Amino acid sequence: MGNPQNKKEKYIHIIQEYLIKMPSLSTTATKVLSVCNSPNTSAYDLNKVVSLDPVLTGNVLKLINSAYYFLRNPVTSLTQAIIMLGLNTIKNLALSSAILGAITQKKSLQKNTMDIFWTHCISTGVWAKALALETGIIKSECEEYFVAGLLHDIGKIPLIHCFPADYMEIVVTATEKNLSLHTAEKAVFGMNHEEIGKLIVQKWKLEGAISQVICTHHHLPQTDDETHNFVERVAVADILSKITINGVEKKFPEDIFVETILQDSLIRTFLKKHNLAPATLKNLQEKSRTEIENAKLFIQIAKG
Amino acid sequence: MKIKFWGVRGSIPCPGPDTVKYGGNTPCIELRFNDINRQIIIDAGSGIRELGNHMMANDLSKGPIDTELFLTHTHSDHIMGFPFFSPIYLKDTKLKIYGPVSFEDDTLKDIIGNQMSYRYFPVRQIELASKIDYIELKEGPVTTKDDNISVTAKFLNHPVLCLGYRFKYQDKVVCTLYDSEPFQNIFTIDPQDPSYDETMAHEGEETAQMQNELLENFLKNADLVIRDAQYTQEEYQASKKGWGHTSMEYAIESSKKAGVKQLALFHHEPLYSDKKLDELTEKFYSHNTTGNMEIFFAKEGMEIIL
Repeated sequence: MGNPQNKKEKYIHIIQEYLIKMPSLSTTATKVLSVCNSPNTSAYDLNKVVSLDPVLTGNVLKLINSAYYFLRNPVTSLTQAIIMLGLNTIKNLALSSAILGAITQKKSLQKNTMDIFWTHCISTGVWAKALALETGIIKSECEEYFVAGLLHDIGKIPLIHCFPADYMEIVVTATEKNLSLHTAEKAVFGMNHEEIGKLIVQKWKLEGAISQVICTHHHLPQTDDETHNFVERVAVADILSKITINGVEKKFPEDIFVETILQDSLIRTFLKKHNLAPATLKNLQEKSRTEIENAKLFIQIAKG
Repeated sequence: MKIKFWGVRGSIPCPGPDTVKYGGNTPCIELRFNDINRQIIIDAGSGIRELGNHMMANDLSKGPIDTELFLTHTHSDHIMGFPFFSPIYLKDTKLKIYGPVSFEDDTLKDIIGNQMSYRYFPVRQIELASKIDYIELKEGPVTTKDDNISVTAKFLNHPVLCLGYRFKYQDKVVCTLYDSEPFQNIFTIDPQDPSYDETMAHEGEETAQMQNELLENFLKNADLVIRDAQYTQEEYQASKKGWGHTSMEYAIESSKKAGVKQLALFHHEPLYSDKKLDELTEKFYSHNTTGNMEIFFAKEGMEIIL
C-alpha cells in the first residue's frame, strides 16, 4: 500500500484536472441540450433547466460573480443572472458544459450514481427552500436556499465522475457499516466531499452563505449568526432529503415519519429553535414530493 | 478633445449612392488629445482603414505611431477593419488593444488575431511587424498609458460581452454606449401565461430596472454620448427584441434623463438610406423630444470639439 499522503495528492491532482472544465450532469444534459438548441427558448425554460443542474447553476453564479463584473453584492439568483448576462451567454455556457455531460451518459454505472445524486440535490434544494419559508425567511430570499441545497454536495461530483467504481463501493460500505458517507470518503480518498467542495468554491470564487454550505454542511459553523442559521436550514434539509429517500419513493405514515425524524439531534434542535411541530415537516414532505416529481418530469428521468 | 467619426454604420458596410451623406463604414471613432499628444481609437470596424491611412499620411512624419484601441466587443462589424489598419505593418508602431474578455477559453489576442490567418487573410498575425499588447478588461476603472485621461468600463446588454466606455479628460466627458439594448424583464409577467412564475416575474422586473438605472448613471451629465440607436421604437417592438440594440426613442429619452448635453445617434441600420436618416432627423429634432439636449445622427467624417 502506498503512502496515504501521496495517494491523496494523486487524487487531488486528478480532481483539479477535472475541475478545469467540469461538465454538467449526465442526468440533465439531454434536456439542457434540447432547451438550449431551440431558437425559441424562453427565459423561464432556461432558468428552470439551469436551476436543475448544480454544475450549470454553479457556472452561472461563478460567471456573474467573477471579477469581470463590478457588483455591490454577490448575485445568488439565477433570474437576476439571466437578465444581466442575457439568454445567449447563458445558453452558450450551458451548451458547452452539457455537451461534456452528455458524453458521460455512456457509462451506465456512473449514470446511475449521478441520477441518484441528482435527485438528492434537487430534493435538498426543495426542502431547504420549504424550511426557509416555514421559518420566516421572506419569499424573495428563499431561492438562495434552493440554490444552496442544489449545490451543497457539489464536492461529490468529481469523486463520482473520476472514480465511479471506488465511489460506488464507498456508498455500499457506508450503508453496510452504518458510516456517514463523508467519513467513508475520507477513509478511501483522504478527503471528503466538503473538502473537495472547498476546492470548487475556491476555483469558482464563490462567496457568502452558499459557499459555507458547500464547505461545512456536515460541520456547522460554531457561531450564532445568520450564516449559521442559513447553513443549519440546508443541513436539516440534507438530512430530511435522505430520510425521506429523496422525498419521493418512501411514503411514510405520519407516526413513523415523526419517529424517524426525531431520532436526529440536528432536526430536534432545529424544531425546538423554530418552535415547529414535527407534523409541519410531514406536511412539507407532501409539497416537496410534488415539486421533485415535477422536476423529474421536466428533465424526463424515468421513474424507477 | 476632438472626436472624429470614421465609421457610423451598424452590422455591415454599405457603401453606395444612398449612403454618401451619412457614410457606409462600420464603427470607428477617434478621440484626439493634442495638448497631451494622445489618441484613443474606439473600435476597428471598416472605418479604421481610412483612419489608418490618415495617420500614415499625417502623423508618421512626426514620429512612430503610438496609440490605443478600445474594442467595445468582438462582433465582426467592430473588428473587421483591423487587418486593413496600415500602422500595424510598421515595425516602430506601438499599439495597445483593450477589450472585453471572452467567456470561452479564447483570449482577446486570439479572437482579433484569428482574422489574420491564411483562411481569411494573406498575412498572419504573427507576421505583423508592430508591437501590439492586448489588455483584457473588466468592468470598472481602466488603467491606461497615463492618468491624464480616466476611463471606466461598463458591461452592456448585448448577445456577446460588450463594454460601454466613459472617457474623462479635464472637465469633459465622452461616453460610448454601443452595442446595447435596454435591459428587459425577459420573464413573462402575464399570470395567464403557462410559463408565468411570480418570483421570476417580480425579480426580473426589479433587475432590469436596476440595471437600466445603472446605465443612466454611467452616462450622467456627459458632454457627449455616442449611442446605439439602430431602430425606431416601432421596428424594435415589431421584430428586433433581443437583438442587442436600442430604439432611437429610448436612447433619446434615457439620455435626456441622465442629463446628457449632446447625443450622437449611432450604429445606423444598413437598410437606412440618407433620405431615411434625414427624415428621422426631422422627426426627432424638436425641443419637445430632446429638451435641452442636442441630438444628431452621426455622420462619417464629422468632427466635434469639446
